[in-house]
Amino acid sequence: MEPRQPPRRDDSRLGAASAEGSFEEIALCHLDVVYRVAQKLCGNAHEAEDLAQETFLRAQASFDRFKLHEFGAKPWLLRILYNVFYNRAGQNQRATTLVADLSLDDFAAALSHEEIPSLSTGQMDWDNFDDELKLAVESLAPEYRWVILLWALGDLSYKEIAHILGCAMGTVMSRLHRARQQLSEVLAEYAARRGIRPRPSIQP
Amino acid sequence: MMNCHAIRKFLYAFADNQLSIKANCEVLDHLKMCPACSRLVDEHQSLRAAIGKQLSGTEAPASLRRRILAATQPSSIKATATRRISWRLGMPIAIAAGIGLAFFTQWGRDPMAVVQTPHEQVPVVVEGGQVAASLVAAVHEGCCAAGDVHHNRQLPRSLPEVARAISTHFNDRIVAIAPNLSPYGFEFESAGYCGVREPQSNDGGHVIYASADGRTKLSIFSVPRWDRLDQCAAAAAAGFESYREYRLDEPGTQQGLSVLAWHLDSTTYVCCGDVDLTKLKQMVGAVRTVQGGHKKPAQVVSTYGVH
Repeated sequence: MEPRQPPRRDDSRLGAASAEGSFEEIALCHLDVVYRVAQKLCGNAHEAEDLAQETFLRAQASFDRFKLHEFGAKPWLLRILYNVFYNRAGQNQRATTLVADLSLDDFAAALSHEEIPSLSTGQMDWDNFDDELKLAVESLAPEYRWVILLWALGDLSYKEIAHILGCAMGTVMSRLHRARQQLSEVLAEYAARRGIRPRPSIQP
Repeated sequence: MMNCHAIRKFLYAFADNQLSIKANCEVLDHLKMCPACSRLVDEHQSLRAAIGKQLSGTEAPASLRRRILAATQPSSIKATATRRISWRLGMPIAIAAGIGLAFFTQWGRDPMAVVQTPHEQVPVVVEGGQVAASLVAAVHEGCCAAGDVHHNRQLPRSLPEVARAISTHFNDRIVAIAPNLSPYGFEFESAGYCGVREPQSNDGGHVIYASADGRTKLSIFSVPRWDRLDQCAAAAAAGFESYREYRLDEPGTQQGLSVLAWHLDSTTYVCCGDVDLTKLKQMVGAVRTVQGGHKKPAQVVSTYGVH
């Protein structure tokens, strides 16, 4: 059983994107998404503006070579944002906080009910944790934050996320799992301090 | 049918709609029988929705959109100034603190309307640029009108010593804040701390030069980050040594002021005077290129403002 290939996007076309429309038509309509992700990454509106602006300037510089049919404009722009973000942070900081990525078997093992602590996977009511969830996401290591934010956008396939992050699709899945696990742990601690009771545990 | 252990490898991929149709059906078959796995799917999707909700709703500022739009227009790199604005603000002429405070208070406000440049047909938006340029002109005029009173008594009287004092005090580049303009017929006249560098701070070097006949004055001083207002940062990212330039004419007369702004070492400097913009660029551009150690020749990337 393997993850399926992402469907072709509506804007899938052959040839350079510049032949299909103007930069404004194809790229600038994604400014809000790029800005939001940038803001969540750096937590600072001014810096987010700088990141977004640099992203679009770089995008425009390579617009003639960009081909829409590969992934579409949004993953392309987010990939540039990713590179801009790490270029600014300094290459040495890239992924240094990551532990080894998990395999799919680790995935399953971590999800087995024997290893579920008092409040963890499957028991979390995220709606109770709006502010805390925001802080918890901000506390994630950048690579985990990246993957969880791209995933939360809701319309990117694993393959597209892998393209943006320049990693394998399995790495996306394992990082997503790890990020999710860390969020659960942080919020479980918070819930325990506030005396929030977990949902009743359901055994398989 | 697969058991929980086998199915959970693919549970999140299922929840994210990433599985093939066949795999999808297998997981669905299991979920019909297993409330625990169903709950994992629900929770996974609710987490995505919760973070997605935090990601939605925020829109990129309109000013950012306009800046990017202007910077990515093919012809914006060399937009031509065609519209002129009055720089008379009617504000009381004062020097030092009064002007500096007004400068900072006004900086970045009163967004400029879209300026359609007839020759290029490129809408150029400089948010706050009109007011900013006018305030630069007001500082220049106020300080020049003060004559020798403008000179700060704690500063020396010769240009090289003034340059060293200011650059040491503010970590400014000497060549930026106090270049030698003698080759262009302008001599040092006075210096003060009338510039504005940072929020809540009312100081920064301000050097005034005068032509041989004393009729024409030139100012160079620092201002708050200009690149927050327009495309300095964008142009720098594109590899240009950028200027912002304005021509502010006095209605009904042949007089006016040229304002040239540039960004260097996290400080924005302006040069202002009733000198032709081309000549002003030669003066400051030559100084920057030759004495500032810039390998790239200075290029004018945008001309705004004025008709």
